[in-house]
Amino acid sequence: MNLLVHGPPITSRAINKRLVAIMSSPFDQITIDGESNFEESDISLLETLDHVLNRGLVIAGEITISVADIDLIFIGLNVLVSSVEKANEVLRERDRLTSEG
Amino acid sequence: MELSPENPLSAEPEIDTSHAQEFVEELRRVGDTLPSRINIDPDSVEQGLAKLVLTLIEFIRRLLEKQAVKRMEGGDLSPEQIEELGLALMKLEEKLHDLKTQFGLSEEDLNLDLGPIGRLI
Amino acid sequence: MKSVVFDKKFYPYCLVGQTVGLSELLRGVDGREVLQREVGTLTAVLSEWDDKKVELTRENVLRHDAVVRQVLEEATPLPFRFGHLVTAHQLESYVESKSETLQSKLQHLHNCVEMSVKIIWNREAELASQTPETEAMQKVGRGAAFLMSKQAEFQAEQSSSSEVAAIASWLKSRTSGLVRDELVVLRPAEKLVVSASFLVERSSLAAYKNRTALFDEERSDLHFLTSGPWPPYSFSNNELEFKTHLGVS
Repeated sequence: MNLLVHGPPITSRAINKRLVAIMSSPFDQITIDGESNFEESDISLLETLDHVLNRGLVIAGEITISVADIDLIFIGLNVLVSSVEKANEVLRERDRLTSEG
Repeated sequence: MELSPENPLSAEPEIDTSHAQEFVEELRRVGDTLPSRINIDPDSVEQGLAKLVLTLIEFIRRLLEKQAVKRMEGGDLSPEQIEELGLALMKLEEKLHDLKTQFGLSEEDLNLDLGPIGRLI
Repeated sequence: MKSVVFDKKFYPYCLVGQTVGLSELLRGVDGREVLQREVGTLTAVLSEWDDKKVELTRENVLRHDAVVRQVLEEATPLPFRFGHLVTAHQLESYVESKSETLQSKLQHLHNCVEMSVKIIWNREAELASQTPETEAMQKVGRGAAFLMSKQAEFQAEQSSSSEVAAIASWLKSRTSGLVRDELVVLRPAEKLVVSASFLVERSSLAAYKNRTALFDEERSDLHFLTSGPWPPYSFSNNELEFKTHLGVS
């Protein structure tokens, strides 16, 4: 459940040092109201939405794929990137050690 | 404030800023960047699929650019290789832009799925 | 014998340590009655639900928040965010399996509220220093020039990142000692570079507000938005744990 954050935006927890779970929040049971009565410049509403809605942590490369409004797959591409880089590092280190041997 | 079914608020949060309009704009923008959610619906399979494919390619394309710059900086590429690499990536960027237009998708459509929020705000 | 409908749905607002007194007039999402149900060692504040979809409307969002705020006036809530439906069975198994974690969370949040600070940074200085075309670029082919301009772009992004990290450090240093916990989200690529949530004890609230009131003056290069008090949504995250718990893999 705990994934590494890689690249902007960065999230930090100074005091408790927990890794924050990166999960998108599929609104699988929400539809929009036909008529919305939102005011264009409603700072209060926007701030409220920012707290009350689960936006998860937006990291570039997060995708949730759903079919017929049912969420099936969550892809955290940055996690993949980290692994590839890590893999390259490991391979380079291995090559270095082999060539010195 | 008295509580009633018509008036659900028991206490409104205090919001303090000298730049309300600016924050409204930015909160709406940032609010749009919800985690991307691609929904493939029986009625819109093509759109959904196009979005999925193009989003993935777009992401990979950006990764490729970053990696290419790293390799260039690393100094292990010849000038000819750098030129070839740059040209290919430049064409890739152009091609992807064309495809987005073809499918009627905007830059925003690929970066983020507005979902319910986008239509709401 | 009629069997209980196991998949009857509920709309949860929050979990609490014990039952609280709620106004009879209080109505939740979709105008529904707000109930309290014992779930293991805790109490869940919720509305009964059916097959209807939860509608994302201004009214519903405000009602959700209002319910959690009512609870906050009397006790420490572990809020759910808007729009999730659960069954009684899911709730029970969640509370049971996470009982220790939830208790320690309740303790962590005890007597606290969430306060928010958002910062906009207009980086004019940075834009001015970007030179799109250097002499070097004019000497090479189009492909190489393309890569060089990308390089400049990434470098600008990078220096943004460190500037924004510095802003976050400043913010943390200014609030340290007054907050029990914090969650700081950085977005170097945007104008809204920092979104911070602080867990503040009620007793420290006045001091915290006095501190944040000075921000505009201390950092005239930044634009601030402060808000609160909020129920501790950012430090609860029930719905996230829930999804994992239910084995969404």
